[in-house]
Amino acid sequence: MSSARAVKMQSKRSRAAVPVRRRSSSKADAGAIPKAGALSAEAEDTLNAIRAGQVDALVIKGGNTDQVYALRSFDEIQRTQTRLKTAGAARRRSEAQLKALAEERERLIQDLHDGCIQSVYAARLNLEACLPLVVADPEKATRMIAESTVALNLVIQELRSFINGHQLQIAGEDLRTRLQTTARAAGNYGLDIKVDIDEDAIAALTSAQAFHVLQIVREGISNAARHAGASTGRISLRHRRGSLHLEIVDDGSGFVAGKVNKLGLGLHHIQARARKLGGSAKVQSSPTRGTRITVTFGKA
Amino acid sequence: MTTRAKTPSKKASRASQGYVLYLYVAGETPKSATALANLKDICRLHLPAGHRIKVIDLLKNPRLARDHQILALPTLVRELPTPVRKIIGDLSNTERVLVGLDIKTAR
Repeated sequence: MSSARAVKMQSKRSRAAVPVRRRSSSKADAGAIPKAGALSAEAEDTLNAIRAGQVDALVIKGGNTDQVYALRSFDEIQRTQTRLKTAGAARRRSEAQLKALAEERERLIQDLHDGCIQSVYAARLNLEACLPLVVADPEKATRMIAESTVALNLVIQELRSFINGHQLQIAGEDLRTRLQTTARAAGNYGLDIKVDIDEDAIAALTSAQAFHVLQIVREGISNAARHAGASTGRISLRHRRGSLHLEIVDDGSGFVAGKVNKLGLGLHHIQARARKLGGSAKVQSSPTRGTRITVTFGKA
Repeated sequence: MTTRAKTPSKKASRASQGYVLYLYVAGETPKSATALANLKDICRLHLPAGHRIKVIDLLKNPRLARDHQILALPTLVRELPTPVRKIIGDLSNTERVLVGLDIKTAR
Protein backbone atom coordinates (compact mmCIF):
# COMPACT_ATOMS: atom_id res chain seq x y z
CA MET A 1 0.00 0.00 0.00
CA SER A 2 1.37 3.48 -0.83
CA SER A 3 2.14 5.90 1.93
CA ALA A 4 -0.28 8.41 0.37
CA ARG A 5 -3.04 5.85 0.67
CA ALA A 6 -2.08 5.02 4.19
CA VAL A 7 -2.22 8.71 5.11
CA LYS A 8 -5.63 9.02 3.51
CA MET A 9 -6.91 6.05 5.45
CA GLN A 10 -5.42 7.42 8.61
CA SER A 11 -7.37 10.64 8.17
CA LYS A 12 -10.52 8.60 7.66
CA ARG A 13 -9.79 6.64 10.76
CA SER A 14 -9.55 9.75 12.79
CA ARG A 15 -13.30 10.06 12.34
CA ALA A 16 -13.91 6.54 13.57
CA ALA A 17 -14.93 5.87 17.13
CA VAL A 18 -12.10 3.44 17.72
CA PRO A 19 -8.60 4.86 17.18
CA VAL A 20 -7.01 1.95 15.29
CA ARG A 21 -4.27 3.95 13.55
CA ARG A 22 -2.95 5.60 16.66
CA ARG A 23 -1.40 2.37 17.80
CA SER A 24 2.30 1.89 18.01
CA SER A 25 4.10 0.73 14.90
CA SER A 26 5.34 -2.45 16.52
CA LYS A 27 5.26 -5.72 14.62
CA ALA A 28 2.21 -6.74 16.60
CA ASP A 29 0.33 -3.85 15.04
CA ALA A 30 0.68 -5.23 11.55
CA GLY A 31 -3.06 -6.01 11.50
CA ALA A 32 -3.87 -2.32 11.77
CA ILE A 33 -1.52 -0.93 9.16
CA PRO A 34 -0.26 -3.89 7.19
CA LYS A 35 3.26 -3.77 5.95
CA ALA A 36 4.34 -5.77 2.95
CA GLY A 37 4.93 -9.00 4.87
CA ALA A 38 1.84 -8.68 7.02
CA LEU A 39 -0.33 -8.05 3.98
CA SER A 40 1.02 -11.21 2.41
CA ALA A 41 0.12 -13.11 5.56
CA GLU A 42 -3.37 -11.66 5.42
CA ALA A 43 -3.62 -12.47 1.74
CA GLU A 44 -2.58 -16.02 2.54
CA ASP A 45 -5.20 -16.21 5.30
CA THR A 46 -7.76 -14.89 2.84
CA LEU A 47 -6.82 -17.50 0.26
CA ASN A 48 -7.01 -20.26 2.86
CA ALA A 49 -10.44 -19.08 3.98
CA ILE A 50 -11.61 -18.97 0.36
CA ARG A 51 -10.30 -22.49 -0.22
CA ALA A 52 -12.14 -23.63 2.91
CA GLY A 53 -15.36 -22.17 1.51
CA GLN A 54 -15.69 -19.71 4.39
CA VAL A 55 -15.71 -16.46 2.43
CA ASP A 56 -18.85 -14.76 1.16
CA ALA A 57 -17.38 -11.73 -0.53
CA LEU A 58 -14.24 -9.79 -1.36
CA VAL A 59 -13.76 -6.09 -0.88
CA ILE A 60 -12.12 -4.37 -3.84
CA LYS A 61 -10.76 -0.95 -3.19
CA GLY A 62 -11.97 1.79 -5.49
CA GLY A 63 -11.16 5.44 -5.99
CA ASN A 64 -13.92 6.96 -3.91
CA THR A 65 -15.49 3.97 -2.32
CA ASP A 66 -14.81 0.29 -1.92
CA GLN A 67 -16.92 -2.32 -3.67
CA VAL A 68 -18.10 -5.60 -2.18
CA TYR A 69 -18.12 -8.48 -4.66
CA ALA A 70 -19.87 -11.74 -3.84
CA LEU A 71 -17.67 -14.78 -4.10
CA ARG A 72 -19.46 -17.74 -5.62
CA SER A 73 -18.19 -21.08 -6.83
CA PHE A 74 -19.40 -22.29 -10.22
CA ASP A 75 -21.25 -25.09 -8.43
CA GLU A 76 -23.05 -22.56 -6.29
CA ILE A 77 -23.90 -20.41 -9.31
CA GLN A 78 -25.23 -23.48 -11.09
CA ARG A 79 -27.27 -24.48 -8.04
CA THR A 80 -28.65 -20.94 -7.78
CA GLN A 81 -29.53 -20.90 -11.47
CA THR A 82 -31.30 -24.25 -11.15
CA ARG A 83 -33.13 -23.04 -8.08
CA LEU A 84 -34.19 -19.84 -9.84
CA LYS A 85 -35.29 -21.81 -12.89
CA THR A 86 -37.34 -24.18 -10.72
CA ALA A 87 -38.79 -21.28 -8.76
CA GLY A 88 -39.62 -19.51 -12.03
CA ALA A 89 -41.38 -22.58 -13.39
CA ALA A 90 -43.30 -22.99 -10.11
CA ARG A 91 -44.25 -19.31 -10.18
CA ARG A 92 -45.45 -19.60 -13.78
CA ARG A 93 -47.46 -22.72 -12.86
CA SER A 94 -48.92 -20.92 -9.88
CA GLU A 95 -49.78 -17.87 -12.01
CA ALA A 96 -51.46 -20.11 -14.60
CA GLN A 97 -53.45 -21.81 -11.84
CA LEU A 98 -54.48 -18.45 -10.39
CA LYS A 99 -55.49 -17.24 -13.84
CA ALA A 100 -57.51 -20.42 -14.43
CA LEU A 101 -59.19 -20.02 -11.04
CA ALA A 102 -60.00 -16.37 -11.74
CA GLU A 103 -61.44 -17.30 -15.15
CA GLU A 104 -63.49 -20.10 -13.61
CA ARG A 105 -64.79 -17.74 -10.93
CA GLU A 106 -65.67 -15.16 -13.59
CA ARG A 107 -67.48 -17.84 -15.60
CA LEU A 108 -69.47 -19.00 -12.56
CA ILE A 109 -70.46 -15.43 -11.72
CA GLN A 110 -71.49 -14.81 -15.32
CA ASP A 111 -73.48 -18.02 -15.57
CA LEU A 112 -75.21 -17.46 -12.23
CA HIS A 113 -75.96 -13.83 -13.01
CA ASP A 114 -77.06 -14.26 -16.62
CA GLY A 115 -78.65 -17.66 -16.23
CA CYS A 116 -80.07 -18.67 -12.87
CA ILE A 117 -80.79 -15.19 -11.53
CA GLN A 118 -82.48 -14.06 -14.76
CA SER A 119 -84.56 -17.24 -14.88
CA VAL A 120 -85.64 -16.88 -11.25
CA TYR A 121 -86.38 -13.21 -11.85
CA ALA A 122 -88.46 -14.05 -14.93
CA ALA A 123 -90.37 -16.70 -12.98
CA ARG A 124 -91.04 -14.17 -10.23
CA LEU A 125 -92.35 -11.60 -12.72
CA ASN A 126 -94.46 -14.31 -14.30
CA LEU A 127 -95.98 -15.29 -10.97
CA GLU A 128 -96.60 -11.66 -10.06
CA ALA A 129 -98.36 -11.14 -13.39
CA CYS A 130 -100.41 -14.25 -12.81
CA LEU A 131 -101.73 -13.16 -9.38
CA PRO A 132 -104.59 -10.96 -10.68
CA LEU A 133 -105.47 -13.68 -13.19
CA VAL A 134 -106.14 -16.38 -10.60
CA VAL A 135 -109.75 -15.17 -10.31
CA ALA A 136 -110.16 -13.27 -13.60
CA ASP A 137 -108.67 -15.87 -15.94
CA PRO A 138 -107.89 -19.08 -14.05
CA GLU A 139 -106.99 -20.92 -17.24
CA LYS A 140 -104.30 -18.41 -18.18
CA ALA A 141 -103.09 -18.27 -14.59
CA THR A 142 -102.70 -22.04 -14.55
CA ARG A 143 -100.71 -21.94 -17.81
CA MET A 144 -98.44 -19.19 -16.44
CA ILE A 145 -97.84 -21.10 -13.21
CA ALA A 146 -96.96 -24.16 -15.29
CA GLU A 147 -94.49 -22.07 -17.32
CA SER A 148 -92.93 -20.75 -14.15
CA THR A 149 -92.59 -24.30 -12.86
CA VAL A 150 -90.79 -25.31 -16.06
CA ALA A 151 -88.52 -22.27 -15.81
CA LEU A 152 -87.70 -23.05 -12.16
CA ASN A 153 -86.96 -26.67 -13.07
CA LEU A 154 -84.43 -25.41 -15.62
CA VAL A 155 -82.85 -23.28 -12.91
CA ILE A 156 -82.57 -26.36 -10.70
CA GLN A 157 -80.88 -28.22 -13.57
CA GLU A 158 -78.43 -25.35 -14.07
CA LEU A 159 -77.62 -25.20 -10.37
CA ARG A 160 -77.01 -28.95 -10.35
CA SER A 161 -74.60 -28.46 -13.24
CA PHE A 162 -72.74 -25.84 -11.21
CA ILE A 163 -72.52 -28.19 -8.25
CA ASN A 164 -71.21 -30.98 -10.48
CA GLY A 165 -68.72 -28.61 -12.10
CA HIS A 166 -70.11 -29.07 -15.60
CA GLN A 167 -69.90 -26.31 -18.15
CA LEU A 168 -73.40 -25.39 -19.20
CA GLN A 169 -74.18 -26.10 -22.83
CA ILE A 170 -77.32 -26.39 -24.91
CA ALA A 171 -77.95 -27.93 -28.30
CA GLY A 172 -78.58 -25.53 -31.20
CA GLU A 173 -82.13 -26.76 -31.76
CA ASP A 174 -82.87 -26.28 -28.05
CA LEU A 175 -81.78 -22.67 -28.37
CA ARG A 176 -84.80 -21.83 -30.51
CA THR A 177 -87.15 -23.33 -27.90
CA ARG A 178 -85.36 -21.62 -25.03
CA LEU A 179 -85.42 -18.25 -26.75
CA GLN A 180 -89.11 -18.62 -27.52
CA THR A 181 -89.80 -19.63 -23.91
CA THR A 182 -87.87 -16.58 -22.72
CA ALA A 183 -89.84 -14.34 -25.07
CA ARG A 184 -93.17 -15.88 -24.05
CA ALA A 185 -92.32 -15.45 -20.36
CA ALA A 186 -91.54 -11.79 -21.02
CA GLY A 187 -94.94 -11.46 -22.71
CA ASN A 188 -96.63 -12.58 -19.53
CA TYR A 189 -95.40 -9.49 -17.70
CA GLY A 190 -96.05 -7.01 -20.47
CA LEU A 191 -92.99 -7.17 -22.67
CA ASP A 192 -93.90 -8.31 -26.15
CA ILE A 193 -90.84 -9.87 -27.77
CA LYS A 194 -90.64 -11.10 -31.36
CA VAL A 195 -88.18 -13.89 -32.10
CA ASP A 196 -86.60 -14.04 -35.53
CA ILE A 197 -84.09 -16.85 -35.90
CA ASP A 198 -82.34 -17.93 -39.07
CA GLU A 199 -82.15 -21.75 -39.51
CA ASP A 200 -78.62 -21.43 -40.91
CA ALA A 201 -77.58 -19.56 -37.79
CA ILE A 202 -78.93 -22.28 -35.51
CA ALA A 203 -77.13 -24.94 -37.56
CA ALA A 204 -73.85 -23.02 -37.39
CA LEU A 205 -73.78 -22.78 -33.58
CA THR A 206 -71.88 -25.08 -31.29
CA SER A 207 -73.42 -26.05 -27.95
CA ALA A 208 -71.14 -23.67 -26.09
CA GLN A 209 -71.97 -20.82 -28.47
CA ALA A 210 -75.69 -21.54 -28.16
CA PHE A 211 -75.37 -21.31 -24.39
CA HIS A 212 -73.63 -17.91 -24.58
CA VAL A 213 -76.25 -16.64 -27.04
CA LEU A 214 -79.05 -17.68 -24.70
CA GLN A 215 -77.38 -15.98 -21.73
CA ILE A 216 -76.83 -12.76 -23.68
CA VAL A 217 -80.47 -12.74 -24.73
CA ARG A 218 -81.67 -13.41 -21.19
CA GLU A 219 -79.57 -10.53 -19.92
CA GLY A 220 -80.81 -8.21 -22.66
CA ILE A 221 -84.46 -9.10 -22.04
CA SER A 222 -84.03 -8.80 -18.29
CA ASN A 223 -82.51 -5.32 -18.68
CA ALA A 224 -85.36 -4.30 -20.99
CA ALA A 225 -87.95 -5.43 -18.42
CA ARG A 226 -86.23 -4.43 -15.18
CA HIS A 227 -84.41 -1.23 -16.05
CA ALA A 228 -85.93 0.14 -19.26
CA GLY A 229 -89.62 -0.61 -18.74
CA ALA A 230 -89.87 -1.64 -22.39
CA SER A 231 -93.17 -2.78 -23.89
CA THR A 232 -91.89 -4.34 -27.14
CA GLY A 233 -88.68 -5.88 -28.31
CA ARG A 234 -87.08 -8.17 -30.85
CA ILE A 235 -84.52 -10.97 -30.77
CA SER A 236 -82.90 -11.86 -34.04
CA LEU A 237 -80.15 -14.30 -34.87
CA ARG A 238 -78.93 -14.35 -38.45
CA HIS A 239 -76.18 -15.91 -40.48
CA ARG A 240 -74.75 -13.47 -42.99
CA ARG A 241 -71.59 -13.74 -45.08
CA GLY A 242 -69.97 -16.29 -42.78
CA SER A 243 -70.74 -14.37 -39.58
CA LEU A 244 -73.46 -14.70 -37.00
CA HIS A 245 -75.36 -11.61 -35.92
CA LEU A 246 -77.37 -11.52 -32.73
CA GLU A 247 -79.53 -8.50 -32.05
CA ILE A 248 -81.66 -7.67 -29.01
CA VAL A 249 -83.73 -4.54 -29.44
CA ASP A 250 -86.22 -2.92 -27.07
CA ASP A 251 -88.25 0.29 -27.00
CA GLY A 252 -87.56 1.04 -23.37
CA SER A 253 -86.21 4.16 -21.72
CA GLY A 254 -82.62 3.25 -22.61
CA PHE A 255 -79.74 4.84 -20.84
CA VAL A 256 -77.11 7.51 -21.26
CA ALA A 257 -73.80 6.10 -22.42
CA GLY A 258 -71.86 7.79 -19.59
CA LYS A 259 -74.10 6.20 -16.96
CA VAL A 260 -73.69 2.70 -18.29
CA ASN A 261 -72.45 1.46 -14.90
CA LYS A 262 -76.04 1.57 -13.70
CA LEU A 263 -76.58 -1.64 -15.63
CA GLY A 264 -74.23 -3.36 -13.21
CA LEU A 265 -72.65 -6.62 -14.23
CA GLY A 266 -75.03 -7.32 -17.09
CA LEU A 267 -73.42 -5.24 -19.81
CA HIS A 268 -69.96 -6.32 -18.73
CA HIS A 269 -71.07 -9.96 -19.00
CA ILE A 270 -72.52 -9.41 -22.47
CA GLN A 271 -69.17 -8.00 -23.60
CA ALA A 272 -67.31 -10.88 -21.95
CA ARG A 273 -69.53 -13.49 -23.59
CA ALA A 274 -69.14 -11.81 -26.97
CA ARG A 275 -65.37 -12.15 -26.55
CA LYS A 276 -65.80 -15.82 -25.62
CA LEU A 277 -67.77 -16.25 -28.83
CA GLY A 278 -64.76 -14.84 -30.63
CA GLY A 279 -66.59 -11.66 -31.57
CA SER A 280 -67.64 -8.33 -30.17
CA ALA A 281 -70.69 -6.64 -28.72
CA LYS A 282 -72.00 -3.19 -29.51
CA VAL A 283 -74.56 -1.48 -27.27
CA GLN A 284 -76.46 1.50 -28.63
CA SER A 285 -78.87 3.28 -26.37
CA SER A 286 -80.48 6.64 -25.80
CA PRO A 287 -83.25 7.74 -23.42
CA THR A 288 -85.73 8.15 -26.29
CA ARG A 289 -84.81 5.37 -28.70
CA GLY A 290 -84.50 2.31 -26.54
CA THR A 291 -81.56 -0.07 -26.59
CA ARG A 292 -80.00 -2.16 -29.32
CA ILE A 293 -77.42 -4.82 -28.43
CA THR A 294 -75.58 -6.26 -31.42
CA VAL A 295 -73.21 -9.21 -31.07
CA THR A 296 -71.25 -10.32 -34.11
CA PHE A 297 -69.14 -13.45 -34.14
CA GLY A 298 -67.79 -16.06 -36.51
CA LYS A 299 -68.61 -19.75 -36.79
CA ALA A 300 -66.62 -21.96 -34.43
CA MET B 1 7.74 -18.05 22.80
CA THR B 2 6.10 -17.00 26.01
CA THR B 3 6.07 -19.38 28.91
CA ARG B 4 2.91 -20.91 30.23
CA ALA B 5 3.49 -19.26 33.58
CA LYS B 6 3.57 -15.76 32.14
CA THR B 7 0.83 -16.11 29.53
CA PRO B 8 -2.26 -16.42 31.77
CA SER B 9 -1.49 -13.33 33.78
CA LYS B 10 -0.78 -11.28 30.64
CA LYS B 11 -3.95 -12.51 28.98
CA ALA B 12 -5.95 -11.99 32.16
CA SER B 13 -4.72 -8.42 32.20
CA ARG B 14 -5.82 -7.91 28.59
CA ALA B 15 -9.17 -9.48 29.25
CA SER B 16 -9.76 -7.06 32.07
CA GLN B 17 -9.65 -4.23 29.52
CA GLY B 18 -12.66 -5.81 27.78
CA TYR B 19 -12.64 -7.09 24.22
CA VAL B 20 -14.03 -4.93 21.46
CA LEU B 21 -14.72 -7.06 18.42
CA TYR B 22 -15.93 -6.06 14.98
CA LEU B 23 -17.46 -8.66 12.72
CA TYR B 24 -17.52 -7.49 9.13
CA VAL B 25 -20.08 -9.28 6.97
CA ALA B 26 -21.66 -9.01 3.52
CA GLY B 27 -25.37 -9.04 4.23
CA GLU B 28 -27.31 -11.77 5.95
CA THR B 29 -25.72 -14.89 4.50
CA PRO B 30 -25.37 -18.36 5.98
CA LYS B 31 -21.64 -17.77 6.41
CA SER B 32 -22.15 -14.46 8.23
CA ALA B 33 -24.78 -16.07 10.45
CA THR B 34 -22.39 -18.95 11.20
CA ALA B 35 -19.57 -16.54 11.96
CA LEU B 36 -21.71 -14.52 14.37
CA ALA B 37 -23.03 -17.62 16.11
CA ASN B 38 -19.50 -19.04 16.46
CA LEU B 39 -18.22 -15.71 17.76
CA LYS B 40 -20.96 -15.46 20.37
CA ASP B 41 -20.25 -19.01 21.55
CA ILE B 42 -16.53 -18.31 21.82
CA CYS B 43 -17.11 -15.07 23.70
CA ARG B 44 -19.56 -16.70 26.08
CA LEU B 45 -17.13 -19.51 26.91
CA HIS B 46 -13.80 -17.70 26.80
CA LEU B 47 -14.48 -14.02 27.44
CA PRO B 48 -16.96 -14.00 30.29
CA ALA B 49 -15.27 -10.98 31.87
CA GLY B 50 -16.56 -8.65 29.24
CA HIS B 51 -16.70 -8.11 25.52
CA ARG B 52 -18.50 -6.05 22.95
CA ILE B 53 -19.39 -7.31 19.50
CA LYS B 54 -20.31 -4.95 16.71
CA VAL B 55 -21.51 -6.38 13.41
CA ILE B 56 -20.77 -4.22 10.38
CA ASP B 57 -22.58 -4.99 7.14
CA LEU B 58 -20.41 -3.78 4.29
CA LEU B 59 -23.22 -4.24 1.80
CA LYS B 60 -24.96 -1.36 3.55
CA ASN B 61 -21.84 0.78 3.80
CA PRO B 62 -18.78 -0.46 1.89
CA ARG B 63 -16.76 2.61 2.97
CA LEU B 64 -16.44 1.13 6.45
CA ALA B 65 -14.14 -1.55 4.96
CA ARG B 66 -11.35 1.02 5.00
CA ASP B 67 -11.37 1.42 8.75
CA HIS B 68 -9.80 -1.98 9.12
CA GLN B 69 -8.63 -2.58 5.54
CA ILE B 70 -11.01 -5.47 5.09
CA LEU B 71 -10.29 -7.73 2.11
CA ALA B 72 -12.69 -10.64 2.57
CA LEU B 73 -15.97 -11.27 4.35
CA PRO B 74 -16.70 -12.36 6.97
CA THR B 75 -13.73 -10.97 8.87
CA LEU B 76 -13.44 -10.63 12.63
CA VAL B 77 -11.36 -7.72 13.92
CA ARG B 78 -10.18 -7.54 17.47
CA GLU B 79 -10.03 -3.81 18.06
CA LEU B 80 -9.30 -4.00 21.76
CA PRO B 81 -7.19 -5.01 23.50
CA THR B 82 -4.40 -3.84 21.25
CA PRO B 83 -2.82 -4.87 18.96
CA VAL B 84 -5.50 -5.16 16.31
CA ARG B 85 -5.97 -8.71 15.05
CA LYS B 86 -7.95 -10.09 12.11
CA ILE B 87 -9.44 -13.50 11.51
CA ILE B 88 -10.94 -14.28 8.12
CA GLY B 89 -13.72 -16.83 7.61
CA ASP B 90 -16.73 -18.19 9.44
CA LEU B 91 -14.86 -18.73 12.74
CA SER B 92 -15.72 -22.42 12.74
CA ASN B 93 -12.21 -23.36 13.87
CA THR B 94 -12.45 -22.35 17.52
CA GLU B 95 -8.81 -23.14 18.24
CA ARG B 96 -7.68 -20.84 15.47
CA VAL B 97 -9.98 -18.09 16.64
CA LEU B 98 -8.75 -18.33 20.22
CA VAL B 99 -5.15 -18.11 19.05
CA GLY B 100 -6.03 -15.32 16.62
CA LEU B 101 -7.69 -13.32 19.36
CA ASP B 102 -4.69 -14.01 21.55
CA ILE B 103 -6.87 -15.65 24.15
CA LYS B 104 -4.92 -18.83 23.84
CA THR B 105 -1.28 -19.34 22.86
CA ALA B 106 -0.56 -21.38 19.73
CA ARG B 107 0.88 -24.81 20.45
